[in-house]
Amino acid sequence: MFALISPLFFYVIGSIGVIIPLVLHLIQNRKTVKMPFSTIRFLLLAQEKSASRIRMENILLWIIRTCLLVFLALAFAMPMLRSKRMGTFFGRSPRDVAIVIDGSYSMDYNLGSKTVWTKSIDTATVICEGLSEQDRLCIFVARDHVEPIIEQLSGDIDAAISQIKALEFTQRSSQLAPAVMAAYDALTEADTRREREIHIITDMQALPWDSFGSQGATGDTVNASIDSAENDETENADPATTSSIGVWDPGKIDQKRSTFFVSLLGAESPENMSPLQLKIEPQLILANTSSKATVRIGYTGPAKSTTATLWIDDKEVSTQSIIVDANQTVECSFLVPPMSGGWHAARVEIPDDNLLLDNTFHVLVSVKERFPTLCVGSRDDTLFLRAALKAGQSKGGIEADWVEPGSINEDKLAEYSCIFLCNALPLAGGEVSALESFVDRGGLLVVFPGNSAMLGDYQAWNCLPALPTMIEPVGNSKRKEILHWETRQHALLQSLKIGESTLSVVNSKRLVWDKLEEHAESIILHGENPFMAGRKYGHGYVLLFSVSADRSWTDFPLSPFYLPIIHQIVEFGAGVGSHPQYVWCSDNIPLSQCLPEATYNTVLEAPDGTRLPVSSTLMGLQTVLSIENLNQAGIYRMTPPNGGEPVPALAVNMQRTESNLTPLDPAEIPDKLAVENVQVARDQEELLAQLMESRVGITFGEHLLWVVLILAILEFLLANRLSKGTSSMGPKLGIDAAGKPSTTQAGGGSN
Amino acid sequence: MIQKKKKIIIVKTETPAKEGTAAFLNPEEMNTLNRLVLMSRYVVEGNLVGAHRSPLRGHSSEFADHKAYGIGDDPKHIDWKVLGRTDKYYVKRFEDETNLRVYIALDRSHSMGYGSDKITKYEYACHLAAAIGYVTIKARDSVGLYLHSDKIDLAMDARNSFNHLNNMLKRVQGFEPESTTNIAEALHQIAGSVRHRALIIIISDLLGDETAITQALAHFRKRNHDVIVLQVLDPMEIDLAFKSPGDFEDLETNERVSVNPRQLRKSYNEVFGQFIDQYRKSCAEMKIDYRIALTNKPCDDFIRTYMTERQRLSR
Repeated sequence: MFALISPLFFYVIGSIGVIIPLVLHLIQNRKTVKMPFSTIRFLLLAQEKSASRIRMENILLWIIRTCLLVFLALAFAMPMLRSKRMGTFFGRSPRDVAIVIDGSYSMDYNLGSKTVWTKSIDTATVICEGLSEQDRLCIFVARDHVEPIIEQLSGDIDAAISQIKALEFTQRSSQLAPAVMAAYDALTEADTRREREIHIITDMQALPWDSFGSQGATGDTVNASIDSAENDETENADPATTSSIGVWDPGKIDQKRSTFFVSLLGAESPENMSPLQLKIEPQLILANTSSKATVRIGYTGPAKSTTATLWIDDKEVSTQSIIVDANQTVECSFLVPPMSGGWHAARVEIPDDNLLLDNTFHVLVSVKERFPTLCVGSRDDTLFLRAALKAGQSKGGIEADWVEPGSINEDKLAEYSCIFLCNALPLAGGEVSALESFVDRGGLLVVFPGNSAMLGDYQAWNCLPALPTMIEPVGNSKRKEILHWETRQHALLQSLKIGESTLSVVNSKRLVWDKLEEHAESIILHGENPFMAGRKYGHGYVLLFSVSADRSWTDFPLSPFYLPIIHQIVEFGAGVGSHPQYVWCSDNIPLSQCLPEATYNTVLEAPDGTRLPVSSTLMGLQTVLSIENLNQAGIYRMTPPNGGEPVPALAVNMQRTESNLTPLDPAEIPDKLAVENVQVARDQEELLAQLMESRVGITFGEHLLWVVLILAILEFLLANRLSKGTSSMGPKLGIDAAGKPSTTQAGGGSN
Repeated sequence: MIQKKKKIIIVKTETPAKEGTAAFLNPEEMNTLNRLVLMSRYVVEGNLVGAHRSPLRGHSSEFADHKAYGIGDDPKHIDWKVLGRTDKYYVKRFEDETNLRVYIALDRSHSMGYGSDKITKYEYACHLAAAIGYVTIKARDSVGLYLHSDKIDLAMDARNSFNHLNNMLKRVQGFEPESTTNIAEALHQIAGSVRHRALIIIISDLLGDETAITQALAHFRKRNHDVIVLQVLDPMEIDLAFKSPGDFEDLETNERVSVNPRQLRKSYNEVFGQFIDQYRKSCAEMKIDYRIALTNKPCDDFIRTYMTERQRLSR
């Protein structure tokens, strides 16, 4: 749409500019000086000859001069051409504006005098201040979920500005696509005739833009945060899976009315180092034994050297020098000195950089004094088992108790980390329930079949990895088979130093099952037949052997594999129900998975001293305890039920995805958004200029001034050429000193 | 003793205006012109025996007078006695030698009254006439005058005396440019009145009908006269180098035309160039010596250069 910023210049001065050359021309023609001349005959002839040429030259000069003045007036009138079809001639149309602010912790990057977050708040404020009374806006913050600030379009700009200034920074990651989609949906709910602006305020990080090209998925927001911690997939943890908003769909965007303004306020070449993961191994540490801490450090920036420091219980343990290449990940290890039993808070720190929030990684280390183990079965049935456990006792840690079947003290089951049932079935219903509860709370139950149990006795169990369908003798040809690891990555097998495919066991009898129960897996095979299966049940784990613990069904107890696997099972059991070493920041975490000992009265103390009570939610028939607002990274402490000093209960870290500050090429943004009207600004000034151009239009004043300059040069050359006229006729005639003209025709005429 | 005071009275007297030859030629110019000779390229008939070839046969033995020796004179006629007496060379002239009759046709039409600078074309033409007359008389040839516009206003026969030249120039001074440039008719009249072959010098701007004037010039040639055409022009007439537009008024017809000389200059040069070229070609065809005298060039320089060249070409 064409408009004039200062129309007065055009109408008044432009009109004058058109009239002036005409008036001058007329005035000039009237001004005459009388000149006597010998004869006007040749003047008349010349005039007749060049009348048309002179007329054309005069007209051309008049046109050039008129255009010069008109364009000059027009240039000062500042003509505009708007980039939108809509809009009134002398102003701009009302619009709906959506502002999406990146709320990830990478926005805390320090740029010198301000952080990216501060600049973003300022920019959002400036955008709001530039709106008129007719405009409306909505505001969303992109975190690991979409946080609406003003969810529906509102015309209260002042309130919006207040809310923007009141926004707080959180230590979370973000994905922009869900927030932008939510913002656009808010715009489309309103008047479709208005122009739309979608402002995306973020840093230069490429990561938040990945969601524009990926499928978003619904998922369990809570489990993902714990699972990723447990699975040590820090770098690959995709916060997009935490979003409940659908995919980015550029097909839904009204391209004609919508303009995207992307403000990239971060550093062009950011530098950031962050410990991505800290593992202390073994997972189950015995008291007074050394262990190893391995930290993986990620880095964005040019190659540099730095240090990393390990702290245990706020005491500096050691410092390692690190040399890291540009944009690389590096690992370094620390030797952890022996620790006493209990929970210990460990952390790795790197020196301060521009992004402070991710410079520390916290873990909680559980150190066991002992491995309490219970064997249930007859003396004969548990003979080999007890011998193996006894060997482990001397090694350190294993404390094995033994009871006959039917003598299980249900109240004391919680004291054990691992319970072996050796030909103990059938058990009473109460005992079965007690044992299942034991498993559910985080214990390890190991079941060895025997001659005492019938197939039906296994049916009473809900926690077994499989329900046996047969107890069969093994044919002679298949009695001696090699043991194979079916699930090599199982924690039970990872620490085994015995290699698979080297052990042969002779089985004369075995349990047979056709299928595995839910969450069950086959761990070891005897030839092609199952040997050991496992199943996660509640917080605990159940192992089911297909052979007995004694020699009645197999010579397994006599194999060199027996003792190591039994010890491994005991250690596995000690670590099964333990806490994860850390969890990610989250708004809500069920405590049953990370803090099973929590009760209704539990109060967690955040690193800054804030007290976080436990909340309970009824889900079906179960009451789920959870903790909310775990948004601070650090060690959360819990006061024991018996009182006393708070002890470390939970290590919380920020999702490290945002620590990768690999910058995005601004030229890629239009392709990622897949929309036509995209403006990318690197700072506030550039954004304001783009807004001016979009809302008001492009002024052609400067272009017209260039045209005026060209016209002025043209006029000068043309008028000058005309005024100079032709050269003197005398020399052309070639009249010599004696008055004789040359034979060359002067003037080009011919007789 | 009483001394009487003397009263001193200062009387201013005006220098009387120069007339005749003195009005046009100063002593320096005369000195320059003394050495010049106006030669005719063709056979002429003179009333005196002179250095010019005569169509008449024979050679009289009757001594007439002496003439200063000039280049081209027959050395056998050198009077050695005079040489011995005066150390100067003189030749004897006999009765049957013929001198040159020169008739000057001076245009006094109104257009001749134009001048963009200090001198008008008419004044310049009179100056030319005076110089030519002086050279002619100095060479003991005779000079006559026809002053004309569209008709003959003054006719003076050819005489060989400075007094005649002086009288001629005095008469010329009494006339002012006026009337129209319809000189063809006057030229025809002049051609008809000059009976014997003579050297006709036409001093005019020729701003008339080119065809008619060319025919008049042909009339002269038909009567076997040697013709010299001196076209007197003002530089402004050639270049039209006026800086500002104006109303140009014709001196003869009083017609006016508004013109911007800068815009018109190119076309004017073309048209005027054609006009000049037409005369040049016509005169060349008729073996008429056609020269252009610009009023911004010194007259004596022009005469000297022209006559020197003419003398050289006449051999």
